[in-house]
Amino acid sequence: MLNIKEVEVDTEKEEITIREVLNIAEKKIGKPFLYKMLNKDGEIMRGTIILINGRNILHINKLDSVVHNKDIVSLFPPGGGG
Amino acid sequence: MGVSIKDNKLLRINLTANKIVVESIDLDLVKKYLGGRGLASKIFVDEVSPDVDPYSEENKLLFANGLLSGTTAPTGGRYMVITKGPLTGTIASSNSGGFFGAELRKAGYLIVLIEGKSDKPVYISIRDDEVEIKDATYLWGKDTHFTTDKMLEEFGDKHARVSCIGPAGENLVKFAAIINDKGRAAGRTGVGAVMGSKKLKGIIVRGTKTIEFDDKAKFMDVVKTKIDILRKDAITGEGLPKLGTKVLDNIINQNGLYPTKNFQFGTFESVDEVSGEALVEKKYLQTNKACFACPIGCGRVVTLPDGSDGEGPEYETGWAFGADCGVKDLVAITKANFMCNQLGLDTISTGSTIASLMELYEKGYVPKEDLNNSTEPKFGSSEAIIYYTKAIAYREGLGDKLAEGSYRFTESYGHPEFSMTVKKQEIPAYDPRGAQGHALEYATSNRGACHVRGYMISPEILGVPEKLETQKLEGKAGWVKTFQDLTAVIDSAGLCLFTSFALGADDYRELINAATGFNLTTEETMQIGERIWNLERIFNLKAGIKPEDDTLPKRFLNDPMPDGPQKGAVVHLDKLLPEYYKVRGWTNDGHVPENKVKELDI
Repeated sequence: MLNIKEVEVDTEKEEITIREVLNIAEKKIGKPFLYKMLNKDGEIMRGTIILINGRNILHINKLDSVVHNKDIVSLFPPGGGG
Repeated sequence: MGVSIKDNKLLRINLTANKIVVESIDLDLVKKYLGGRGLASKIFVDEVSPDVDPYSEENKLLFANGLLSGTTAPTGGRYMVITKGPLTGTIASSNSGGFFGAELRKAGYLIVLIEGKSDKPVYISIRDDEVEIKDATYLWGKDTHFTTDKMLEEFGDKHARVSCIGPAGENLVKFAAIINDKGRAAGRTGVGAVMGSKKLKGIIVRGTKTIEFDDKAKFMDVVKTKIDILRKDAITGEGLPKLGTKVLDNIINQNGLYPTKNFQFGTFESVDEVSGEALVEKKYLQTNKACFACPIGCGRVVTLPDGSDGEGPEYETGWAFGADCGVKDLVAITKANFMCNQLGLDTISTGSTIASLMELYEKGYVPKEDLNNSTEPKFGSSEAIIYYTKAIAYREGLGDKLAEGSYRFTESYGHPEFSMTVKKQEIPAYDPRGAQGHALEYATSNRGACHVRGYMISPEILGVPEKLETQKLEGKAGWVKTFQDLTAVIDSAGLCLFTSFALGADDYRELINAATGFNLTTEETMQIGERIWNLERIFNLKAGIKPEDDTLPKRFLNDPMPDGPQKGAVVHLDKLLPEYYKVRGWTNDGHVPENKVKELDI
């Protein structure tokens, strides 16, 4: 989506929400991308995949899901195939 | 010249008697089964005994357009090949895109039915109403690209379209494909071998007729609204055109169900080397390519550093020769893909059968002397995927046994548990332990393991139309039934399954009604799908497939996933299957009761 494979998000907190992580990452990258993943109400768009250590946040606590230090967050824009 | 969409013809070609007849297709049958997979399956089961030997003269082979194939309906270029398949012994239907199907429709034929068997190689030439059976002796043994070029040259019209087999089909490889337009495949279930058994090398067609509608303006209006939906949708309007199917490598790997080394693991450490992103970064990807009337354009056109080029690899192929064989060499993977297109092989079954050899060899069940000094089949070996792909197509050395598919191959060494198959067909690129609904879909698919008979990855992983929890069992059987029935409708309408990322049953109903003047309700449309599913099931049961075959390899039922986000998962088929039989209205032991046959008016 951004031609960026990895970005590290540094924080002083032990745990932060995925919403905060995404906002920090967007600032750090300096290129807006959240508009492609979240709708105007700030909810996750259909088909967007956000994983914390391979678990989809829709089954954790959506954008309030908690991310711990060293967790891996994966972001995928809507994609499909067969 | 115009032909009404309701005035459909079946071209019957008897290769034993050298006889060609054109028959009209009853419109009532079209209302019940649409076209493509549904209608051709109905004609097939009415004419062919379930116990037929797939390679016998009595087996028939139907090339069937969907009802909307050849029209401007979005993605209306799909055709299906229906027969009894040699790999599974089930009714086999294999779907392909490209341009061949639409050209056949424009020549005036919804279906071409091949019966009998020729005693020498032949091909069929169709120029609208002019149909000829021609000698193909000089093409026998040649690959699909040479064959396509030569047939076009002899035909003398570059606008014609060709569907043909390569050496694999001639050599009765049980998973031989039929290749049209050089890079599109009716890939699965061994339909190419049935074509080879009939000594039919190919079909070339040129059609110049137009398809007419009672209310063309209305049809075009509905088409326009559906194209708009597809263009605006994030997957069909942006994801698939830009990234193609290989965007899935990273998605499926990160979700932990990316089958690695013959399904021993659920994640592949070298995914970055072989992913869709790598195809772009290494500059192999040139452009995307669309099939007939397709506004999506997911096809990939690739050129390798040595200058060889072609279509693919798509997600499934890249996985079959990549992660499943532990190979991280994208050039070798792509070359193996090109070889399959030219030799006429199904890429999924070829890669997965080689992967089963690799596991057997590494576990010591295939003795080194059986290799006859040929390439060692070790996981990760680029040489091995190339060598054994060719060996399979020509049945050379160990390739002769591999050409029977991974089930018969591993069984010949006394270890069928290392064959990752359902009903003897190789499982595609999603470990069933990682998505319980998709696992149920594999176990119950009417053509053996298949991901495109009810693509549960869409809700379970991609979150479309809504996100379902992968390991949850509740409600999954109902979802699988709905997806299977809807897919049967799409396959019979002649549209691409990828449209279903954006369109629903109402959209397909509107397209069918606008084209034909039928007044199908959404419920009736879905019932057509259910009718087709049950028709196939009944044929399979009569053909000797047992409900006990609705299962998965023991690896998925007994061995917890060893790694990744799905670690610890097994498939709970014991709970899913009884629920599935219930929602299907079948008996507890998986048979179709008489009241269901009556209800669906099969």
